[in-house]
Amino acid sequence: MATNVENQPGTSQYSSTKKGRKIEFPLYTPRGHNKNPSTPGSRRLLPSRRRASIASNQEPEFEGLLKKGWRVHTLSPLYNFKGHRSFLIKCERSLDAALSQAQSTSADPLNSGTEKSSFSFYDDLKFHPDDPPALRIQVHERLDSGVMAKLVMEAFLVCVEPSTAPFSPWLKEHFTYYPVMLVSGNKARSTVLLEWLERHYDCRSDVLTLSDSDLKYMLVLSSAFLPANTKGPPVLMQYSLEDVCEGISVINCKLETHYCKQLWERLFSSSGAVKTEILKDEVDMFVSHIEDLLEHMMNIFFKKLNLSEVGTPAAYVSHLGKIKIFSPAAVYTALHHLCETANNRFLELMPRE
Amino acid sequence: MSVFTRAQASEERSSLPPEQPQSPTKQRQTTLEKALSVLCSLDTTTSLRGNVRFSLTVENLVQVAMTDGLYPDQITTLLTVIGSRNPKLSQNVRSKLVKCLIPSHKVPQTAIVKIIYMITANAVSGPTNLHSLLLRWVLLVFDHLDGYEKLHRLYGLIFMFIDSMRLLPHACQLLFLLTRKEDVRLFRVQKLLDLVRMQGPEPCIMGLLMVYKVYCPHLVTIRLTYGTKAFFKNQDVVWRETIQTVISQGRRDEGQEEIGADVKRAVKRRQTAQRRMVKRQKLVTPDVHAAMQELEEEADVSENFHPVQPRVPYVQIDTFTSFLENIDNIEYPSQVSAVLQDSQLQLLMMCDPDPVVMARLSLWIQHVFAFGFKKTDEESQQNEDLLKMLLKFSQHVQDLPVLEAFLFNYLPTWDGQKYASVIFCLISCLGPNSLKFKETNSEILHSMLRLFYSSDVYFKASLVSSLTNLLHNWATKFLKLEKLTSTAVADLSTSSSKGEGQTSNVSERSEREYEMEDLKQQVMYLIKCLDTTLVLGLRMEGDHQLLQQVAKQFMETVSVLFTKYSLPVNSFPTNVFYRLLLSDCPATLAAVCGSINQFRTSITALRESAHHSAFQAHQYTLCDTVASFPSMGTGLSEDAAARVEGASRKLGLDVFNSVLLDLMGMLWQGRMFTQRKRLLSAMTTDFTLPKHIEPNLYQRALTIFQGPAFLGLAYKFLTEAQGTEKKSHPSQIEKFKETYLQFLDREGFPQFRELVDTNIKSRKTASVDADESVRE
Repeated sequence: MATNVENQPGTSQYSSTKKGRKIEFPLYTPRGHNKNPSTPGSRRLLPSRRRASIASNQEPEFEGLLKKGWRVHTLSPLYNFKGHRSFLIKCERSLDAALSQAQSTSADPLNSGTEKSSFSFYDDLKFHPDDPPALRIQVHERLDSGVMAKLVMEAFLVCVEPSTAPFSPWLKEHFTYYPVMLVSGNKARSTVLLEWLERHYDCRSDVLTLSDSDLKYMLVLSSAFLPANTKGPPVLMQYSLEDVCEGISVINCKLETHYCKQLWERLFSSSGAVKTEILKDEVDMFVSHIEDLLEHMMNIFFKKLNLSEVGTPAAYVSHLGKIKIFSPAAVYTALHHLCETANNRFLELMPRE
Repeated sequence: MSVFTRAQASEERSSLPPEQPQSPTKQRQTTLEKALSVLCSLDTTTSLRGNVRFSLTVENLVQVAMTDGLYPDQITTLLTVIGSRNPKLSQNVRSKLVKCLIPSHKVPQTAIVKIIYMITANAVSGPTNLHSLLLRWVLLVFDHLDGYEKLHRLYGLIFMFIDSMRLLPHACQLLFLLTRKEDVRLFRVQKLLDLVRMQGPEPCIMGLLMVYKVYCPHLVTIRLTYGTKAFFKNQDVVWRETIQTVISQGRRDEGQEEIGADVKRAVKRRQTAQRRMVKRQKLVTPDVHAAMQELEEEADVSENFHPVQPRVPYVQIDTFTSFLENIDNIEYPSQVSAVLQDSQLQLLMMCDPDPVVMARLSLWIQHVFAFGFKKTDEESQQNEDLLKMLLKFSQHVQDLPVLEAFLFNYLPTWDGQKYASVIFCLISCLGPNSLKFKETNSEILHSMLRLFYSSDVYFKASLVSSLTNLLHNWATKFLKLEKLTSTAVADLSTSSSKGEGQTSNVSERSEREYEMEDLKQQVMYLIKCLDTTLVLGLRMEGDHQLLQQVAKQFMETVSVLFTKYSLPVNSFPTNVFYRLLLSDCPATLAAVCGSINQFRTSITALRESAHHSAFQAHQYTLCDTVASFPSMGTGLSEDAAARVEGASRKLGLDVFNSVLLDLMGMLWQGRMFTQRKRLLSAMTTDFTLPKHIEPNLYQRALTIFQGPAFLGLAYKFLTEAQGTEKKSHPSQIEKFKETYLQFLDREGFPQFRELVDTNIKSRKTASVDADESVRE
C-alpha cells in the first residue's frame, strides 16, 4: 500500500500572488482528520473503523515491533514525501551515503562493515484509511568477514488516528504527517537518520517526553489489555522524587496484575458494553483509586508526586520517551496515545483565529 | 676547480676603480643585484664548501632582502636558484635563501606556480623539508599575490599534496584559502573522509571539510562541531612580521597606503567570515543546502515533458547580481528555516511570497516551540537567538502568527526576566484582537498585568513602553488600511464608470471598513487599559521618574493618533493626566502641556475633518478614558448608536475643556481646580475638598512660578534678574510673568508659552497682531 502525494504547485486556492507582500497565513482552521473524532481529552481503545487492508479473521502479528525497546521521537509534518517505490529506492541510496559518511568519521574500530538501509510500508499499523501508511526503515550491517547481515537499526514512522490534523486540508498534498517515530539502534545511527529526515523533508525532530498525565493515560489504557491469568509480571508505577527528597530518587510500586484487572473491570466493564474510549475523568478516577490504596498502605502522598515510569504486562513506558510493547492488543492504544499526545502538544502552538 | 680565497677577494677589491658615492638604498640594491648575478652564474663544477665569495654573497643577499625586500623579478630569479638542480647547493643554503624571500611589493603569481611545479616535479623522491618550507612561504605571502587565477587553476595539483604527511597541514590551509564552490567535488570529500578515517580528525582536514560544507552541505553530511578551536596553526610569526614590515615600508615609500588598507580589509573580511562560520554551527537553524535535490532530480527529468525554465537552487547563487537575474526561478533551500539567518532569502520571500514555503517555515517554528524550546539554562542562549531571529523576520518580512501563539503559551509561566528584551519586542508586535479586552479572562493581558503589579519599576516601565509601541503599531496598521481603502474607493469609482466588477470591490471595501472599526475599538481599549495601569504603577512606585517618562511617551502617542496616523479617535487619558499634573518635575509638566496642545490641535482637526466629510462625521470618536468612554458592541440600532456616540462626544469635549481649564487655572491663573464642581457629574468621582481645608487652600501654590516643580527655575530667574544680594521669593515673579515665560522658553520649556498663547484669547489676538506688525 502506498500513498501518492504529488506536489502540484498552483492548484491550491492559496496560490501565490506577486501583487501584495502579505500572504494569507495557511495554518488557520484545522479541520478534523477523522470523520469520527473522539471526545476532547479522551483516548481511543479500539480503532474507529475496521482495518482497511487486513481481513477481519487475520490478526496482525506486528513483526519486529513487539518486545523491543523503542525511543520515541516526534516529527513535524514531512514536506514533499512521496510514497511510490522508486522514490523509496532513492531514499535508501541517499541514506546509505549519509550513513557511510558518518561511519568514515567514526572513531569506533569495530564499526567497519558496510551499512545498507531499506524502506518499506508496514501494513500492520494501518488502522484508518485516512492515516498515511506506517513507514519502516531498517539498516543492516554487512560485515567484511562474512555474508551475514545484521540488523543494527530500525525505525517506524507512524500516524495512528490523530483527532485533528495540524494543517489545513489544502496543504495535505504537500505534507505527510507522522507525529511519532519509534527508533531502535545506537545513538550515532539514530542521529544520522533523524538529521537525514530533517534535511530531506524539511521537518524537525525531537524526543517525545511524557508528562505525569500522559503516563497515567498509558497505565489505564494498557490495563485494559491485562491478561486474565494472575501469574504475569506485576504492574509497575514508578514515582520520581527528583527535587523532592535528597537521597531517594524514585519509589517503585508494584501491584498484582489481577488487582488492576479487577479494578478496571469494576469501573469500566460493569455495564457489559464494549468500551471504545477512555475519558480524562475516568483516567483520574482509576489512578486515584490505586494511589489511595498506596497512600493507605504506606502513608506517602502519591498524589503529590509525578510518575516517571509505568509498566504493565501489556506495555512499558518511561517519561524520557522510551516504550516497549508486549501485547499485540495494546499496540493500537499505545501508539494512538503517543500520536495524540504529540499532536496535541503540537497543536497547542497552533496560531489562533 | 677554482677556489675563491680571502686573498683573492682583497686583491679584487683593490683592483676595482674608485666608485661614485651612492645613496645607501642604491648601494644595497647594487649589492643585491651583484649577489643575484653571482648565484645565477653558479655552475655545477664550482665548489661551495669553504667558498668565501659565495658565503659573502649569501650574507649580503640575506641582509639586503631582510631590510629592503625583493622586487618581483628578483623573487623569481631567486626561486630559480633555489629550485636549480645544482648538487653543490645544499639544502641548508636553499632553506636560508627561502627564508630571505621577503617581498617589497606584490608577489607574482608565476613565482607561486613555479613553486607548485617544483614540488610536483619531485613526485618520485617525495616532498622534502624544503618543499614544506616553500609552501609555508606561499601561505605567508598569500595576501600579497598579484592575482589568484593562475594559482587557482592548479587546485587539483595542490589537492594531491595532502597525500604527504609533510605537506598536509600547509596544503590544507592553502586549499582552505583557495577553495571556491566549483572546487568542492564528491571525490575530494571522500578523499578527505578517508584521511580522517586513517589519521583521525586532524584540525587542518576538518577545517578544509568545514569550508567544503559551507559551499556544498549536501556533500558533507557529517556533523562538524569545533567551537572556537583554530584549524590551522599560526606558525612562522617572526617571518610573517618581517614580511609585513618590509612590505608596509615599501608601500610607504611609494605612497601605496591605500593598497595596504585593501589588504587589511581583505584579511579582516576573511577573519570575520571564519568567525561567522564557527558561530553558524552553534545556532539552532540549519544551514542553506539543497539536499532535497538528491531525491528529486530524476523525477523532474521524467515528469517534465514541456520545456520549462529550470529552477536554480539557492545554494548555487554566488553574487547578488546572479540573485537578481534568477529571482523568478530560485528554488528555496531544502530546509526553509535557513531563511531566518539569510537576509537575501528574506528578500526573496518578500518579493515572491509563497504560501507553501510559509507553511513549511511556520510548521518548523511551531515544532521548535512545542518540543525544542527547553527551559534549561544551557539552551537559553540558543532560545534567545532564535527568538531574535524570528522577531527580525516578523518585523521585516511578514508577521508570524505562531509567535503570538508562543506568547499565549509562554507568558503565563514567564518570570519576567528571561529573554525580557525580546519578549517586550514581541509584545509590541502583537496583532489586534490578541489582547482580548472584551473578555474577562484575557490570557496575555492577565499574565502581563500580574507581572506588572509584582515586579520592579524597570519591568513596569518596559512593559508600558512596549504597550505604547503596540499602540503605535496598531495606529500604523490603521494608516495602511486607510490608504488601501482610499485606493479601493478610487478603483470603485473608476470601475463604476466602466460598469464592471463592482460587487467584489464593494465587499472588499466593507470588509476593510469593518476591520478598521474593530482596530479603532481595540486602540481605545488599549488606551484605557494603559491609562489605568500606568496610574496604579505610578502610585505603587511613588511617581518614579522612569514611569513618568514612559507616561509622557504614552500621552504623546495618544495625542497624535489623528494628526499623524489618521485614526479618528481622541481618547483623552484623564487618569494619567491628573497624576502627571502633580509631578514635581518641570520637564514632565512641560511634556503634559505639550500633549494638551497637541490634543487641542487634534480635536480641532478631527471636528473640522468631520464637518467637511459626511463620511467621517459619524465615525470619529471623541472621549476620555473615565467619564465619556463609550460602551461598545452593545448591539444598539444604528440610530441609537449614533445618538449615544453624539452624547459621548459632547461629554468627551466637556471633559477635555474642564481639563484644559484646570491646567490653565493651576499653572497660570492661580485657581486650584475650581472647575471640579462642573466635572463632578461627569467624572463619577466623589472628590470634594474637606470644608476646613478649602478656605486655607493657597490658590497659587502650583503656578509656574510658585509650584514645587518650578522652584529651581524661579530661583534661577530671580538670581539672574536681581542678583544674589536681595532677598527673593517666587511670588515676586507674578508681576513679570511674561518675562518669566520667555525665560522658561530659553531654558528649553517652550510648551508653557505655547499653552498660554493658544488658550488665552486676548494673548492669541495680541500675538496675531504682533505677527502682522512684524510683517508690515
